[in-house]
Amino acid sequence: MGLKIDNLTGGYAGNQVLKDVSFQVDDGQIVALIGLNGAGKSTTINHIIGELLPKSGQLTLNGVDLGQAPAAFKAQLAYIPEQPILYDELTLEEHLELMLSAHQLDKAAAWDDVMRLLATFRLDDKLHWLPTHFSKGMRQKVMLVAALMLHAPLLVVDEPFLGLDTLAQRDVIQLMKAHAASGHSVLMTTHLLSSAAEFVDTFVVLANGQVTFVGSPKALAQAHHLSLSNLDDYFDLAPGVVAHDHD
Amino acid sequence: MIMTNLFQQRWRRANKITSKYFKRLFNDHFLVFLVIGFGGVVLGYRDLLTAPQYAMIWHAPWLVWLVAGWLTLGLQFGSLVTYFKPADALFLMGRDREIATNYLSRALALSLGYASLWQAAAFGSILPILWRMQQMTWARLLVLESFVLIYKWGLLVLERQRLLLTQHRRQLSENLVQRLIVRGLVPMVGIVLVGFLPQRLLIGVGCLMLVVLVALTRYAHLSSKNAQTIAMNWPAAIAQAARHEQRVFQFYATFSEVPNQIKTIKRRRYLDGLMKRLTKQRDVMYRLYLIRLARDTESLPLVLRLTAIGMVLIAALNQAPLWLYPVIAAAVSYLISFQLLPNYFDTQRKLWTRLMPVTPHNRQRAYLTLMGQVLGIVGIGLVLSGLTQGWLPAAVVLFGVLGMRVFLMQVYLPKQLKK
Repeated sequence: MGLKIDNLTGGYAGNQVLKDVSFQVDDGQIVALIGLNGAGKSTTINHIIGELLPKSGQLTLNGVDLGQAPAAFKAQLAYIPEQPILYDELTLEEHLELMLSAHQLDKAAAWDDVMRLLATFRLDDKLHWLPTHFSKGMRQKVMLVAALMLHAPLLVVDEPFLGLDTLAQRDVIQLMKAHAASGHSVLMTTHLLSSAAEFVDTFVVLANGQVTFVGSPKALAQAHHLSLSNLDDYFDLAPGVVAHDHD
Repeated sequence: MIMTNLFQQRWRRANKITSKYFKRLFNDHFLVFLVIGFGGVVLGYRDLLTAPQYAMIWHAPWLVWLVAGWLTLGLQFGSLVTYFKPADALFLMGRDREIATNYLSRALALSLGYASLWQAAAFGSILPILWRMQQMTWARLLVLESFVLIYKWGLLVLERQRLLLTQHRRQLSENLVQRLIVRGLVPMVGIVLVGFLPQRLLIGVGCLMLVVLVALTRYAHLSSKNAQTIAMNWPAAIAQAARHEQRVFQFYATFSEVPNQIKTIKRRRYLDGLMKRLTKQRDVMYRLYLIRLARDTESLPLVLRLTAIGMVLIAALNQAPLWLYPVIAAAVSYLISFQLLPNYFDTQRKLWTRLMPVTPHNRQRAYLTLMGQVLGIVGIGLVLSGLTQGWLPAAVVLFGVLGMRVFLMQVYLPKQLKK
């Protein structure tokens, strides 16, 4: 079933950013939300994770309505924000234990998988470190591990490659692919269309708070007479994508 | 001139913030503390000065060391106020000479004013004790206070020097031992010497101090010519200003809510075992609140400080009316609950917390569990302190602690957490 967004209208107090946004992320799919700065990508994400309340419209995840059962909705998603946010007081291990416990997952059963993820991001020897000792990239990796270890039905990733080294970027792509291959869904935002086109199933283009295109990368490229490798030129060519600054 | 104006501008802005916080302070909890805490201290102080059983103290040789300790403690208050901001390192780059001569000279003058107020308060608070001491005269008091003020002036100049890089000396740093010597041992010994000095030498010592004052003031003045070889040590200047700002906010935070106060963390590994045991069968939010409390450098010491103040007040009250004991105990419990509230709200503001599938009810319940435990431990400390005065004071302290606990846990905190 996946994530379904129907006629979402919303934004911040006194600033309506999104107008009738509708799209869906099916099980096993990787969907990328794209648009220039201020198009409404982050606002859409903030609505999905329950940070903003919609003015109208509906968000459901596997049949659970966010407005009616926020805790049950959140229990099904894992989120990786653009800026890594950690508790300064908690070690890496405590962060992961906390997240497992909040999602009612047994540590003993999940820990092998957690250690595998930590090893992938070269964090397995830093379990007792506090966030003050982490670089920005390492913090982002902690966020990735904390989200991926949950195997949540929906993985929401805001700008997944920001601050990551090339090895980690490659690993993130592999892990997102694996997540989708296991029947879960991934929703991400990105500006890097050409790179994303290699592994994304669907692009949802946002401009001025409205959805202007939903389709495969190939369809987007064909519609604007571009090849997949120069899809980044899309924003130069597409009419109406230049947005206001409210993202 | 621009730099002088910049400092004035920042000073005015800081005053606005100060007046905003002072309004908050005097509106609620600080007044409660002033009325109860200050009242208790005054009663205890009066007991000390008038009770016949303390008459021997005024001739004790160690009293001068105690006085010296108190005045030395006073010297630690009133540091250099510069209002430097992190962005200054970039935006004021290349204006080092003007900053050293204009901006910092204003900063030094203002800091001396503030520091003098602190020293006057420290001195004034023990004036009745000083006056009862053997050998005390007006001349000796004057020399003593002058010594303290000149020493503070010297410390401020030294602090200013640390913000500068000169050709001869790259950086004036200070390790813990040097700090203890310069800020503790030397002034303490100096004060004791002035205290024991024969009366006939006082005028000579006073003249010597005047010479030191003139020399120090000449050294503190940086002419444009001297400033040509000086550069700002920006990392040190910004760190010093940030430390000062945090100390000021810490004071306000003791009695009022200070938004955006920077948190610092201490690992406190020695608490890990205890925390593991406490959190074994508890839910996720309780674990989160407890770890955050245990590793925060503000909250836990604040709880300990307030508990210690309460215990000392209760133990120090000898001839106080009985009602004062439960009032102090209840006020300490209330202040601690109030002070820890920002921890709850700060935890809720974190994205990690908001993303956790935990209902608001469970978040509030876990916090109340922790607060119940904290208040329990504080209450035990206060009752034990009451026991030093006898069974009846201990019983009324227990009554105050339990009464306030019921109010906090059943009414005040649930209402606050739902906001």
